[in-house]
Amino acid sequence: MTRRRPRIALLLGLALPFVVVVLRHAYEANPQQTPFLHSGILVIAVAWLGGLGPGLLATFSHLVAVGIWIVPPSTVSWTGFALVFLQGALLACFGEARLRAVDRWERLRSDLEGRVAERTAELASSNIRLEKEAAERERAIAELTSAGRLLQASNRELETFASVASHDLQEPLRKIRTFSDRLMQRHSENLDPEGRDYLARSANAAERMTQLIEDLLSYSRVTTHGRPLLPVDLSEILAGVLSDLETRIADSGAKVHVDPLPQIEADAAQMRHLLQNLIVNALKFVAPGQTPEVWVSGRVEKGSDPPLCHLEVADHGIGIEERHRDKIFQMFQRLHGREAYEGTGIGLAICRKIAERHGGEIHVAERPGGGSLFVVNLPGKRKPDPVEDVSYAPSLS
Amino acid sequence: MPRVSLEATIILADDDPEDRMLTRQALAEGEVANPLFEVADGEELLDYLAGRGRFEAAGPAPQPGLILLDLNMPKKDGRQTLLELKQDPALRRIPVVVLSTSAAAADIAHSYDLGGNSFITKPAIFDDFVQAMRCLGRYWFGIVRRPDEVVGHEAG
Repeated sequence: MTRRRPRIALLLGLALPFVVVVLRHAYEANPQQTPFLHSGILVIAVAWLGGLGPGLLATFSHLVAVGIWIVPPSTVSWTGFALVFLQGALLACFGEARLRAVDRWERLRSDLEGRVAERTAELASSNIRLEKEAAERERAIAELTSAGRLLQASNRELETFASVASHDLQEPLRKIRTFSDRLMQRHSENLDPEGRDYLARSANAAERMTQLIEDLLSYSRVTTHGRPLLPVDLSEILAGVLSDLETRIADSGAKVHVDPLPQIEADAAQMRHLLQNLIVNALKFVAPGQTPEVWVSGRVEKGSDPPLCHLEVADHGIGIEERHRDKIFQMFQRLHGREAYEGTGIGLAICRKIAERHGGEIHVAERPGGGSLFVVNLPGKRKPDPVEDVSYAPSLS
Repeated sequence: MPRVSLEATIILADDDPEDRMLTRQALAEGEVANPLFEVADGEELLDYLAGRGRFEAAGPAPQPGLILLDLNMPKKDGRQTLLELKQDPALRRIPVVVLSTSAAAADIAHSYDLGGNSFITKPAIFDDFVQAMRCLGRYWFGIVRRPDEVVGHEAG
């Protein structure tokens, strides 16, 4: 509809002067009526610009024509005709431009309206989606929080259980050891060699179980009895460990090569435990008859943030097959019989727990040239986690 | 040769009869010949000292020379007993040696905090236990002067 209006207007605007001229020639009328003709055309123009449709315009044109009807033809000149024609053309052009503008404006508006509606719908749907997502996330967070709390509680329970069980297990065990000790001391002459052998074996088993419980306890203490992470000099700690192991190192004739170790933020007691376990392993797992050799080194990687501390304990012992390299850090995982290498199979599990409590990790690789290379990666600085109250917790004895 | 006092009584408070037996034997083998009186928990110990409950007929006990106190006992455990002993003006001077299987730092620290005079972790090897009891006897009944030897100084 709007598209056709400019064309009708153009037609009317162009046709009007011809109508006027034809009418003027056809009928002789009063020449004094010319101003009326002009004002008539002006009225049509104003009406057009004011927004009248083609129907009303035609009515106006008709009225103008009727007015001209009574104008005498002698007053018609070519100048007058040209003026009228120009007026008509201008009128048509204005109309055309105006309609185009209106058209474009309307198109723009409907376009905009459409886009606004579209965006509103989109927004509404994305709002709904967001709300749904937010609700889902909230639920997930709530679930996670409660799961975390449950996990924490069950962890704590487990640790309490481990500690209590270990203490309670120690009690009867201590009696077994004491009484077999008494039996051995005071009545061994009443036993035959076989009897003494049995007694020695049961005493030995009780001893092993004591060690097992001790190790289990120290495993559970890594988290329950952890201390805040403070700056510690690993070189100093290593010196302490080596002095503890002095006899053992001297007895085995082992060579221990030590590089300067960095300072890091850590739990000093646990670092000592970690280094001790790794060095004891390095001393222990050598082929029969071989002299143990251990290399301890460490450095802080400067580029990383937080600075990463690499600790390495290498040996040229029997090494660890690749397929066992994850397993050895699990509890009670032993690769050798008790006759070959003694131990409870907890030492490396403790090492891993210590590394993890410090936000780090431990792994083992093959040392170039044979043997094992234990690598501990610890972040240099980190916010210490809240340490559980260790001020006084009664233990069962 | 240090002077060895044999009159002062040792009170042993331990709920476990086997532990009491072992302590008794270790004391005997360690040549600590003082009279030994055994109770099974903290409540009994305090009752005995005050002459209450089943010790009412006997009246208040003479001040012992030494108390050997286990930490984990039913009814009234060693910690609570130690606290009450050291808060009582009439009893706080009696030397108390905590004799426990525990080697936990918290137990040791807490015992001294409460005013315990020594803390011994019971050795699992009997010979070591005998050695410990021998030293204990020498120390408390040969070397130190105990409060029960001091006459004429009222408690308080």
